[in-house]
Amino acid sequence: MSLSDVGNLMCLPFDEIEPGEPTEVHEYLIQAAANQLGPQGRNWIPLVVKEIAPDQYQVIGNTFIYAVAAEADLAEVWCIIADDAPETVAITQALAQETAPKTNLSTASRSEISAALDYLLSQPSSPLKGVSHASLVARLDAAPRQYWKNLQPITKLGCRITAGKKLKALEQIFYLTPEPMPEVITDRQLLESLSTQQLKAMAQKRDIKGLSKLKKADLVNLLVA
Amino acid sequence: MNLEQILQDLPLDAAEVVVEGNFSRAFLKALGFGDLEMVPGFKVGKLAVDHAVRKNTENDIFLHTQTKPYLYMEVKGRSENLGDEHHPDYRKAALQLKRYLLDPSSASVQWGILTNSLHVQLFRKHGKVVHPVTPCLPLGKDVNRIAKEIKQRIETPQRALMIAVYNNKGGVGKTTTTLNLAATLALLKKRVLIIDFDPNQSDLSDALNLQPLKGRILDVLKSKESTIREIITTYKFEHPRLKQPWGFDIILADEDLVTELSEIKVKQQVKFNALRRALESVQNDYDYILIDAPPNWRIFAQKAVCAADVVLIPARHDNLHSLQNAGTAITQFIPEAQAKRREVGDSGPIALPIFMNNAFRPTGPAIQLMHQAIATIIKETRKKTGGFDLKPYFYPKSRKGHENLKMISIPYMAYISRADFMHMPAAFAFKPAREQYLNLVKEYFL
Repeated sequence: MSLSDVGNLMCLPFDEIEPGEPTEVHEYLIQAAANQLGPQGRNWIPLVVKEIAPDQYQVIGNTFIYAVAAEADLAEVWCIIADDAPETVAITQALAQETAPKTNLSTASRSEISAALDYLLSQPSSPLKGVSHASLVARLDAAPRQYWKNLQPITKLGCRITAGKKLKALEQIFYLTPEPMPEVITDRQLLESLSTQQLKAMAQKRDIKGLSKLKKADLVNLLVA
Repeated sequence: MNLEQILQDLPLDAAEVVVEGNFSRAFLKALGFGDLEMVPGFKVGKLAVDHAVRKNTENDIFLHTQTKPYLYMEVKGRSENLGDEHHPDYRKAALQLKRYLLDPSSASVQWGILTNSLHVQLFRKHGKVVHPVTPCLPLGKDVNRIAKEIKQRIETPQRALMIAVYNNKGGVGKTTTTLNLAATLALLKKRVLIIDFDPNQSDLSDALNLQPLKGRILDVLKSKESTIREIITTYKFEHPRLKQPWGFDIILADEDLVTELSEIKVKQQVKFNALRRALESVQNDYDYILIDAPPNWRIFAQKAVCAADVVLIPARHDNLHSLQNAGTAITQFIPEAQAKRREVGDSGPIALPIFMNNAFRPTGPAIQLMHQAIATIIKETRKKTGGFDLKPYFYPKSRKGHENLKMISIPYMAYISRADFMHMPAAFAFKPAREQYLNLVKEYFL
């Protein structure tokens, strides 16, 4: 039998448990739940903790329950022992709805993008006011996002999203794992997203002459062919 | 051994593995697939469907390469009731098959078969739409005939998906929806035909500034020859900045069908499946055929719904009657059309989830009022019909243990009505409108 406690439900003394990230819920919810629990009460929903030293634990999920247990002066708390891999922490917090899971914008499908944006837009004080869900989804889906190194190009999609609060809000739900740019680009949309200077450099590499007078649209047409 | 014999030898309560081993392979053979063309337990995403089949080509043996499956078959034990479409066993199995068919890895699959060796049903996949082609057919002595019929259907697939746009209530934006769906699908390089089947209003023809026909639809519907090509017009949207015009085909409304008298005449002279039969000759020229039906459950609406594979029902959140009428269409009228189509061996049309046209931003008491009204409609319907569940039609995104009240919707947009005055589809003229309809098309069809 394994000697590890990982995966076990255990009743631990409260003072052996360190708090993790503090919860931000309203104090009323904590106080009222603590009153219902009473000092001898059992927390039927366990805390999720990881072992940081012998007989020392730290909360990684269900922080709210920790706060309630502290308020109710519980001497012992029921806990599930998790391992301390970073993925475990991430999935625990996502399952406990303490952090919103992030979507990989480089590879996400249209419906994933749609759901993520819908979540963000439905938040009561969403900074994305005035942004059209359908437009943003359509334009993000069509954009060459597999090459994006950051979310900055979203500001150029013409969806009323500017660098600042709105882009920050999108960072809450999206991350990127960019692919390297291909050596020879012929995709029109991708070319259009590049600057004139980059396009010129690219054309020079392909030994195309007489670039100096060309405008961006001409450059794109040249490179597509 | 022949199929009939195999069926007779199956134990009365044969479990899934027995049906799978003895019956379903033999059935697939009867559909014309050889041993090297079937893969049992074919992986679909994280799950596995009981059988996947495809015809081999010279140097591509399906059993070896296991790529590009063409048809999935899901097998159940005999104890599971697949004969009654309202039974939970059936619904669960059909949903399971649908999930396999819609998995991103199943792009090449076009057909699904559900069977427990007592019943069999054929489903077709068209983009994101999965609809039954045959009713649940009882096997038994008829098994050879049924296998032959299914074989014939999968060997002559029709290209177009026929969509009737219908709500018993008027003024919910059926015509606008038809037009803009057609425009959006055309922009995505799909070939589209729309039919203005509302002679009373002929709004669709008017919206594009085209003159209605005079008395030719009736001839086409009456005639046994396929003369429908003669009345198809092409609508083209031209703009100096477009290299090629955008467009789609249209069958305009028929002025001569307007009078009260003609309704009786139509009833006397035109059979219920005339429209579908007339369209059969062109359905391989198009990816989508959209029929703009009039409101009310009268002759033209009935014919339009009877002709369709699926029915798209627009409603308005601020109009209680449009919601109630949408419910009535699903529980009463569409089943009537199904019963009619079953006479000729088809399954008949199914309703797609209701979508909200002209919806406002999803906040405020109006939305709450709508959800309350819908809850009442769902409850009343369940009581009246003995358990018919309308919920998936109103809230397609709701799942077990997850109440999701999101509805598919097109928001109110000034662009859409403005385009109407300009006699062109909003999806062609205005990008924001196009993106809204693109959203709709992706949710439903692609």
